[in-house]
Amino acid sequence: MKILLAIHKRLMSFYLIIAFILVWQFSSKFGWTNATFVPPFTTVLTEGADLGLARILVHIAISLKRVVFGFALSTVIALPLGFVLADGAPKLAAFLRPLMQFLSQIPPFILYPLFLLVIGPGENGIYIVIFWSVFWPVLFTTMQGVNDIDPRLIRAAKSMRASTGDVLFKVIFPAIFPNVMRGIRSGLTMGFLMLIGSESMGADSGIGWMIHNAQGLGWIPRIYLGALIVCVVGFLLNGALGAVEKTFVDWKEVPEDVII
Amino acid sequence: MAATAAVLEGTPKIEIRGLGRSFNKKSNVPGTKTKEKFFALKDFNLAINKGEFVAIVGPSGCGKSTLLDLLVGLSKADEGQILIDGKAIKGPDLDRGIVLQGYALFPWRTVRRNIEFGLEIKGIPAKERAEISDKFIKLVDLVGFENHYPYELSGGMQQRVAIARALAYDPEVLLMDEPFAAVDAQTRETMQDELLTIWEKTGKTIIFVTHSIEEAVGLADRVAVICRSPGSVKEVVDVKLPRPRRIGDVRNTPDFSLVSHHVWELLQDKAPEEKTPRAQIDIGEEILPDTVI
Repeated sequence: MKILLAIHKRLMSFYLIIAFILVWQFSSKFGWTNATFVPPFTTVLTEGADLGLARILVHIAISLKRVVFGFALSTVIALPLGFVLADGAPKLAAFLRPLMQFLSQIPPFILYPLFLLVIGPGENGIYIVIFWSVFWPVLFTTMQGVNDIDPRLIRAAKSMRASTGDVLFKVIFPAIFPNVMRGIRSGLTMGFLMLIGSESMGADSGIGWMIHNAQGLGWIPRIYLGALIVCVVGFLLNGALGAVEKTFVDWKEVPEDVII
Repeated sequence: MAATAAVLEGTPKIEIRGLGRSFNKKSNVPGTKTKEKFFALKDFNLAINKGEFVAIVGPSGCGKSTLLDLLVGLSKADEGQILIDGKAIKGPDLDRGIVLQGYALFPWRTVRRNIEFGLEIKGIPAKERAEISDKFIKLVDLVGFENHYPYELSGGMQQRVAIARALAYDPEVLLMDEPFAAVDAQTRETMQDELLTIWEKTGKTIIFVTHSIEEAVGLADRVAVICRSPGSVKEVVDVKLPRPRRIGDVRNTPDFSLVSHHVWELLQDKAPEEKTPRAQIDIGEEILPDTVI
């Protein structure tokens, strides 16, 4: 009984997904939807089997490579920049903030033609779209993290004769870590979403391209297959980062329902 | 000056001499660019003996925080100086431990690692650090909570961690900034008694800043009453209550009431009433710098 309860607790968050898949599967059979436009779940899976796992994995790998590179490049610039702006030049940060917030609201696709002019067509366009999408969340959360540091902690450290380096490594970095992690997570999620869009604009491979290509051919089950792959990969990506965050930020109060 | 002289045998542990600290205040008159100087502290004198427990009370805005910052070494005085064992302080050092208002524990560090922070800065190897932190975890009665994070502890327990952290690197002086302001009344009284026990065990010199008269009189050997703008010592009141002391035992004694009332009068900015017999409440006189040298 206890084991059953434990299993039930573990599955709690999956029940709705299972129900959703069941409704999807049978909706055309019951005449709620048209099987042509909403092919049953099993048809989509068969489509995946026809395409072959190897080819699916190649598309995923290509997409992931793009998102990881674009993301890494963006983080490497946005993180230190946010830190330096908020910690070293708060006045400059306040001066730049409105412009940065304005820019961050622009969807990268609108700028896509401009990007093409600057760096030329092809892969680079995809990278810059991801770069743009990741850049702002990471920059803003890093700055937020620096601003949120409790000044008493720095005072406490300094009163114990902590050097500037000590304060940086033993107080500031651990203090901003949760915020930075949050920015990285939302940046990566955003980057992945934008990737799918940008792959349909200037690529000849990847999940986004696969969906775009299927759309052009009217190949409906494959569109669904693509969407399913996007969901699963995005879910795993976010889950992996969540696990990393949980491992390192175990010192904060977690809401009751998250602990399983 | 007989009473003062008796208190000041030998070199005092801490000597605050003619301390002044000013801040620039923008002029209220529009169009003028002159900056007014606002003195948070001026001509502040106080001498504290080794092993003494001195409380500092004053109205809010009397420069208590400014004084504490100067004592810690986080800011520099414009006038005068602070001497510890006859040497002027130049910045923060591990000869002074500080317990800040609101604990200021590092939330990402466990109880043990919070206590070991100062030891890490001091460069003490891990094995030795563990031995020292063990000792202080026992002293503040937190055995079994070594690996808990601050968020998992009650306010009183967090306060004990903060005290242990300040004591762990073995400072001679403990500076406390309203340490019990945030805990509930019951916990506060327990903490006060625990602090007295720790003080009796360790023999540290304690400067305890508070706005509670009862707390000041209940804990301290002497209470320095600070007056406002600019902050300076109005009077140092001797508390001649028996030691070892428990707050609950002394709170209802007539001596306690008399001293508390006197401190209260000073804070109300009234001259002490003539009818109060001075001999009975034993008021120490304000210590002037020339009597110290």
